[in-house]
Amino acid sequence: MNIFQRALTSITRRKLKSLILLLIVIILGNIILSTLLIVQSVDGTRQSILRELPPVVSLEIDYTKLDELYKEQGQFDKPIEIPWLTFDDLDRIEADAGSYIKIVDYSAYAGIETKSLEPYTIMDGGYVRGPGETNYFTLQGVSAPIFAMLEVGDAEIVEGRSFTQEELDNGSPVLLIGEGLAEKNNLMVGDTVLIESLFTDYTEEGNQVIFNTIELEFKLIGILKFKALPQSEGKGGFSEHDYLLEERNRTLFTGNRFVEKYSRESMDVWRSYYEEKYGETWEDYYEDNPLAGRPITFILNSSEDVSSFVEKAQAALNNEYYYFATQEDNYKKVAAPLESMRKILTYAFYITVGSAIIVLTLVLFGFMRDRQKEIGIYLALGEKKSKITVQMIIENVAVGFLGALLALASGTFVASYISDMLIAAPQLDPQQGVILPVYPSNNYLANFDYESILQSYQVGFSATAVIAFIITILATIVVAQLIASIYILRSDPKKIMM
Amino acid sequence: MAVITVKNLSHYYQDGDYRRYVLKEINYSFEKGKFYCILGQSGSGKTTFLSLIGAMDSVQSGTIEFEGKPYQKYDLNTIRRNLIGMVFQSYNLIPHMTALENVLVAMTITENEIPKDKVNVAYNLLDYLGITKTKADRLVTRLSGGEQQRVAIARALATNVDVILADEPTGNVDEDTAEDIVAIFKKLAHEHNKCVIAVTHSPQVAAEADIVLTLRKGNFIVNE
Ligand SMILES: Nc1ncnc2c1ncn2[C@@H]1O[C@H](COP(=O)(O)OP(=O)(O)OP(=O)(O)O)[C@@H](O)[C@H]1O
Ligand SMILES: [Mg+2]
Repeated sequence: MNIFQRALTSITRRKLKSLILLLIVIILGNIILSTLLIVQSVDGTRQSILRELPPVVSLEIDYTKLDELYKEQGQFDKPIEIPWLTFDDLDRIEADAGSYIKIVDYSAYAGIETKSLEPYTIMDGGYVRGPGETNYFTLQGVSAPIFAMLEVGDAEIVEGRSFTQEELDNGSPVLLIGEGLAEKNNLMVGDTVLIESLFTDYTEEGNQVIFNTIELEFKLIGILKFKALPQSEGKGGFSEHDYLLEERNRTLFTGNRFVEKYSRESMDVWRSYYEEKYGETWEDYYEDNPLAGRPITFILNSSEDVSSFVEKAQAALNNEYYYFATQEDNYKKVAAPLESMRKILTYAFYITVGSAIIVLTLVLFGFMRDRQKEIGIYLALGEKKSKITVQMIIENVAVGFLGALLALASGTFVASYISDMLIAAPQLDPQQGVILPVYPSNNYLANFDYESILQSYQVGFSATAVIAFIITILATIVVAQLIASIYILRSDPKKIMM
Repeated sequence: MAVITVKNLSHYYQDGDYRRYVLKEINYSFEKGKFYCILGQSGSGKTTFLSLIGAMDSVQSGTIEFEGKPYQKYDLNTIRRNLIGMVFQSYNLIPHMTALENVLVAMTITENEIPKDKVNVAYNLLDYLGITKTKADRLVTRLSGGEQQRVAIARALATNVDVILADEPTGNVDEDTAEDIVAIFKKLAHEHNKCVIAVTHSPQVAAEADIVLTLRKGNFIVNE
């Protein structure tokens, strides 16, 4: 009769005790398993969605920090001083975390008002024209031959080629435009595109006057096709996709150097116009820093590198006004209801395990008292208290394991039920509190939508959840038994036996 | 040769601020091959004395030696596990186990040398004490009081110890059974060279003993 045989006789012959424990484990087990399964399913959904996405990290200004700064300053008209991002910063990031990076890209932007190009429109009235006869276009710079938009697959070159490094370095006037814009203006690869950039103002009567122009002469080197967004219907049948497509077909892509050069020229035009008109000097608020306010897109070699990259890059940058936005951050914003359910259930998990330990300790303590005589006999026969404790642990772990297996049988149903209930709960409705971005701003992080996330979410088993569950149950029982074993420690065989 | 030697053994219980001495400077040597009976009025300290020899309680002052080695040098558990077998008035058997299993429990706890085929040894031992194989396989709760006490004696013997202590072993059984149990104790002492020390209230039992010790005012009055 070693401790295993002793444990076995106790389990099989003291059936009521075993049954009570079994029942408790099944009930608590179902709750614990549900929380684990749901948490793991939320994680699994996130991971499987993120796995499909390019490993993009976007270095952005922390606007909440800026807001705070404004508030501290108390004056909203004066510019604030923060250490804007510089090329030196980028060099430092590349030095420390360069091994993770595949591509670094950012875009300088400039507006162009012109009559030289016809805008691409999908629907009548969809495109908002300025009050005058001019159309607005965006000049967008890139800093790599395979720039972020191409790398993440938001666009592909259907005709012609992309920029060469040389063209980018020199700021050559070469252009990539979207299919829609090219078609609308009958432009083909190799064409020279002449754009007269107009600088306009309005008279007091509201008439548009052109006060200056800059002549731009580009060579069209390639045509872009933009990836379709999932057709999500917006208001009046005009979808997000249409909106994005128009936006992108109003963009002229060229190198950053060119855009920066053009920006300076147009700034000079505005400056002299202003000084002439108002007789005041135009104060330069900012130093000329092309990186100020621009998100920098890092495309990494692998999704697995994201957190290590962010950690290293953050340390290298050491600037509290910037942060590294990841696909995961973005996902979590959109999937907030799921993620907050995950959070609630994580708490629920710890609370349940905590209560389980308390409940089991009390129950096992009761069992100990019930077995006072048996414990006294073991002690009188000279058994070590540790061995008696081990025997009790073996008994309870064996019953607990059986209970855990039985809980596994019903756990998925309970978990699905709890999950459905929580998702349907009004406080988890995505419309409340979570603002969905209409389209990607100027970074290349994926655009998630809650409905499709929800569609790929399903509560199911995974080996990790099952193993975590069984370990949790058994650890809970062991802890409870160890606490209840204080009873054994305090047992005095003389009092019990004599 | 003395197996257990008691020297200047005193023991008190705390009564508030007052130490009430139950045993006062007892000196005595117990030998193998003899059946001892301890008599004494209720409350005279018989159980206290037995619990000290049985290592159920620690010695406060004086010494108890097992073959010359003081108890203080052992861990109480070890003494109980390897040196002493105990029999109680209320049998103290594990209720959800069979007679055989109760005996086997003691055999696995002890570190003394036990023959390999424990089960056979246990059956034989039980049989020797009058518990047949069919009864040995019964849950102890389904045995009579006398039978349970025999199982308890078998358990005490199963660890191959030289000293058997019994606290009112016949207190819960009828006279015939008491006679049987006393006969067993005598046999153990005389044929198997054990040192058997039994506490009793019964003059009939005491009459069978080789040596009768009467506890009075914390000390022994010896009748050989
Ligand atoms: N744990 C204890 N705390 C305080 N006093 C105790 C304790 N155990 C025993 N006593 C007291 O010590 C005295 C001796 O008790 P003991 O149990 O040794 O007597 P006994 O001779 O075995 O009596 P009985 O024949 O009734 O079994 C008694 O007065 C008893 O009340
Ligand atoms: Mg007594």
